[in-house]
Amino acid sequence: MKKIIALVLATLLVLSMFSVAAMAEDKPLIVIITPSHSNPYFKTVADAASAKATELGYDFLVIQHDDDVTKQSEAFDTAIARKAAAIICDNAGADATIEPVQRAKAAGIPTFLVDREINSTGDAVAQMVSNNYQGASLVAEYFVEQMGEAGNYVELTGKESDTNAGVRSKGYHDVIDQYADMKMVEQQTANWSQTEAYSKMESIIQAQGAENIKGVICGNDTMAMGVIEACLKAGMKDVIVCGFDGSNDVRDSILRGEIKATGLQPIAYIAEQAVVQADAYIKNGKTDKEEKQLMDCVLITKDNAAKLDNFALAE
Amino acid sequence: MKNQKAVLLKWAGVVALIALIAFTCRVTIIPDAVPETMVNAQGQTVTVQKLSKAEQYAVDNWDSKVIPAIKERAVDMAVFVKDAEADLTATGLKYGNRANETSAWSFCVKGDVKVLDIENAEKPNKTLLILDLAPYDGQPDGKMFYGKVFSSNIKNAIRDGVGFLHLDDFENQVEFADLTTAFNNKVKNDVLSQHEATDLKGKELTFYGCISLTDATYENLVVIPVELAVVGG
Repeated sequence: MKKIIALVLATLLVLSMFSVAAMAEDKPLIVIITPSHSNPYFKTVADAASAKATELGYDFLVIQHDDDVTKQSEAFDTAIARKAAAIICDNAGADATIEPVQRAKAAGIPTFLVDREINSTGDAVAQMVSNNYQGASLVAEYFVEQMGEAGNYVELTGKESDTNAGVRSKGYHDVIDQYADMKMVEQQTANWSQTEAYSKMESIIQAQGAENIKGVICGNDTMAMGVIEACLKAGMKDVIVCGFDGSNDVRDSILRGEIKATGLQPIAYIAEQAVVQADAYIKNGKTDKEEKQLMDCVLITKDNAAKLDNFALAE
Repeated sequence: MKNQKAVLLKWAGVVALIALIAFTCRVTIIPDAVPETMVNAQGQTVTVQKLSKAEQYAVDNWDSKVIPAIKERAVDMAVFVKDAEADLTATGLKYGNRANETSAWSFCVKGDVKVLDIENAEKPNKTLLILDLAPYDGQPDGKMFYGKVFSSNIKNAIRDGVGFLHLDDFENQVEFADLTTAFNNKVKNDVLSQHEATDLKGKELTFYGCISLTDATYENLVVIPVELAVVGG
């Protein structure tokens, strides 16, 4: 009996990984592969891409890889087995994704990468990513200005296997390191995670002393949320915290006067454009665009935060 | 039951052994980077810093490709300002360039100017020259960057302004961004180091440069000079 229950549960678990849209056999299929939707950013990728796919007359299948390269590989297998017309992928690793993309290409399925680059060109049809470096520069400039160009700060970086973690950190430092009086007292990874950021920040505050930390710059918004929580708990009301992504959580925090700024990635626009270009490729065999396409980020502060919703800024 | 436990233990042992082998075999041997050295003028042996790909590109192409491209594309700054104020997008399509559809337009410009004043003279990171474009009327028409920290709204002016540099030709966005840093360092070291900003007040200059714009208001008209000469100096 236990075995049967376990089997049923396992089956349900596997099934829950796939959210299948209307299954009309005649429409071509676009498979949308993203990290876990526990981060609303990735839910936006899936929602924006699937809405555009429906609008352009496609069926869609959304699969979450949870930043696990094995799961991602299985997702590509599913796309190949289902003879997808195209794959839209927010990938699980700059190196680990090259092989699945090549496998899909060999099976005649074009891949359109969004949000994260891979370390190869000529395999995916498009790599459409936010200009993380430009966005990080904007955030760092605001951070330095808010810090009065001087003082101790902490940096929390993202997951090492993700190119964006390194790009943003470099963007931050190319700006901040030009100011001699800005001193980084700690640099740690919190792997994009809010809970990890909270506990790491708690330890850093204990180690350094709350009065010795003037600011914290974070590689993404979820980590910034963890950091601000830890800082406020430690009574650091004037701490200068900046994030990156442009989530609604951070928007609300900015409006409350807590987090100071974030870099908005136009991810909804990117996901839609990936489907538009996939559609062009399916119909014409080409897209007339360069493979690598960068979309500039926008600085979000108390001045424009109210206009932000679901990773898009109202005109 | 006991039998099952023994089997389980055996398998656990096998798995642990495989994990151990896999773990110990995952050793990557990275050879120590051998620093190249040279003997400097003082007879000391010093390490030669290897240039990054972008820095090497900037060194190799600055005089042979970048400067000639800017001179060929350069529009008189007074004409450019008038065009950009009238319609930035049309001007961009006519003789500008941009990295992608969401980024600023960048242009190559030239001109004769008089330095009316120095902005942020006490802040060396952000120093700007206030320019009166010829024919001179004593009114400020634009600015020239003369500081140390290139802010993100202006810093890609050279890379994007020359028109022949594309992201696809570089490994990734970091390398492409490094190109901007390399060009701007060249400006900082070769162009802006020639004169103290405060010494230029009241002087007439001729220049070639690049400018990035998302909207053509006076505050944003900040040109990065790539060649600068003091008239009569």
